[in-house]
Amino acid sequence: MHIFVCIKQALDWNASTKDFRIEPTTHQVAVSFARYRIDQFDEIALEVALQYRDRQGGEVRALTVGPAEADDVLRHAYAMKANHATLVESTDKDVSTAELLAAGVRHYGDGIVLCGRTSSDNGTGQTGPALAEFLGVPFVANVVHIEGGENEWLCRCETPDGYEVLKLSSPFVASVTNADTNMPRVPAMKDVMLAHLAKIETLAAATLCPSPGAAFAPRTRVLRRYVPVTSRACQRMEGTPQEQARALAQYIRTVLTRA
Amino acid sequence: MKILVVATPRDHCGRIEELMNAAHAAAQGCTSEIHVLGTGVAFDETIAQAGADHVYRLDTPLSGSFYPDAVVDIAERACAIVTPALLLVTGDALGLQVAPRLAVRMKATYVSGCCGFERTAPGRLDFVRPVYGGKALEVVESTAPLTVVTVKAKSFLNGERRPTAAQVQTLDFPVTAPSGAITRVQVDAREAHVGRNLEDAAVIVSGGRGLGSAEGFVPLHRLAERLGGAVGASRAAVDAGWIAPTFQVGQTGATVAPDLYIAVGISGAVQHVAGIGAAKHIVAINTDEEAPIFGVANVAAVADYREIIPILIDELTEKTT
Repeated sequence: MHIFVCIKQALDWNASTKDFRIEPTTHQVAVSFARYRIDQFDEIALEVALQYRDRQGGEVRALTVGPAEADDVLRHAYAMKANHATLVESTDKDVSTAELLAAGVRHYGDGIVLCGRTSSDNGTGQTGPALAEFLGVPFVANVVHIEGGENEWLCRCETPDGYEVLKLSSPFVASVTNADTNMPRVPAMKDVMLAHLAKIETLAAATLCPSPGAAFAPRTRVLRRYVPVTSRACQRMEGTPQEQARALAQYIRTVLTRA
Repeated sequence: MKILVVATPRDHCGRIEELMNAAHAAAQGCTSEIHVLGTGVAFDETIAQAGADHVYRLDTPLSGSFYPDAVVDIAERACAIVTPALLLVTGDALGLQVAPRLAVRMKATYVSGCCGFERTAPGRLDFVRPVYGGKALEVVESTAPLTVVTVKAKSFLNGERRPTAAQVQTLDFPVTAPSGAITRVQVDAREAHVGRNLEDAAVIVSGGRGLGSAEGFVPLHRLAERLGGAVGASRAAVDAGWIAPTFQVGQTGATVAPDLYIAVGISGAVQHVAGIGAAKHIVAINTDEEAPIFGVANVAAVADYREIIPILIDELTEKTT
């Protein structure tokens, strides 16, 4: 029983955001700012898969798409104790990540596929649902916990009203969101060291032939990126807590009377 | 340009108005036809008054089947009838899972969380959307005949809509869940009533990691009650287990647009700020003088909330009774 977890590298928001800047020529985040790590929701998806495996068995395979250097996230997955890690090697920006991931999953056969609900950079949240369509399997969103197996999987999903449990059979794709039960484990130092030596399987995108017989799915093209100018000038209250509270109360009353 | 607006079972009147504002914003400066498909709920009147040319009603209730699958299926059939160049869906939990699937099926491009349109030349339409958790914006162009768009909440609150006399047509698609494989076995709406009104609240008092504990929310609840508002939380407070996820405001929680947002002990991580950009007034209370939240607040107090909030409640009570 394979659980695939699709992961990618994204900006580390825990690094300082003070110097955040977009390079005007490349439309990418300024190199001086950028610090990368595994995307926050992808890491949670890994945690959900690993919790299942630790309880009920099976094997967890982390998958990522990118150039040869993109193996950092896969080593992180190994450090968290994933069983396998695969890099779908591609530098072609015209092919959708979901299509390549679908080809990667097909290479190994069926299973269930987890991914983060959205990324902290592009933040489109399309990889999971698009992957389900490319694989032609059902999709469930905002899963926080999985159990069961084979023909009776139970997914606990966050909804706008609380939670619901959905039952379905394998194969399927699920996007994962955060809950107090799935905070990612912190790898042990020993496992971090071992992860550097672990073997990463590489699949060349060209040999996978995504979407046999069909042209690649169309993608949007980025024309420019920029940091919008925000015009809020922050007025700081002064004086004792009493005086500050009084000034705040005054401000709040004024604002609410006008509204 | 033909635009198809897909109203889902979760769209209430306000959301449909936002979608219609978005459709009219996209259509500005060109001849257009706005078609609206109501899946599962009849909001015909709202839609007709919001300036649609054609309204398709679907009288079959979706409650018996798995919503998202049914919505993808119905929208796909409606596309065949309308042949739109642009398809708009609300960017809520349902829209965000439905739209990308539809885009793959229709060989369309997908624009997620669109907050604006740009027309730089006649016949050309580009899309503005937040990236990096709302820290930056990007402008993208579509490369396909159909673009599927999820509309970011609170981005099209106002708009000019032309009055139209909508033609209402009833569609009788058979509604079946195409996968047929997903069944809902348990609904746990335990926390449903709490935090539900966050997106529509006029006043929100929100707490973050700086509160230090679950008990820290007690004075916040009192202040919210005093102001007739709702309580919200940052992801840090939710992750710490101090409050239920339904209270979460930010990129991964609710997108809010209150008249007044009071951020208490919230540092102002980009993901949180992404969810409060539409707030009219932001008040920040934090002991950390360097907290990034001060960069987006209108007024700020560098103070301990335990000290200042009880006084603030007293001040507001005295002056209003």
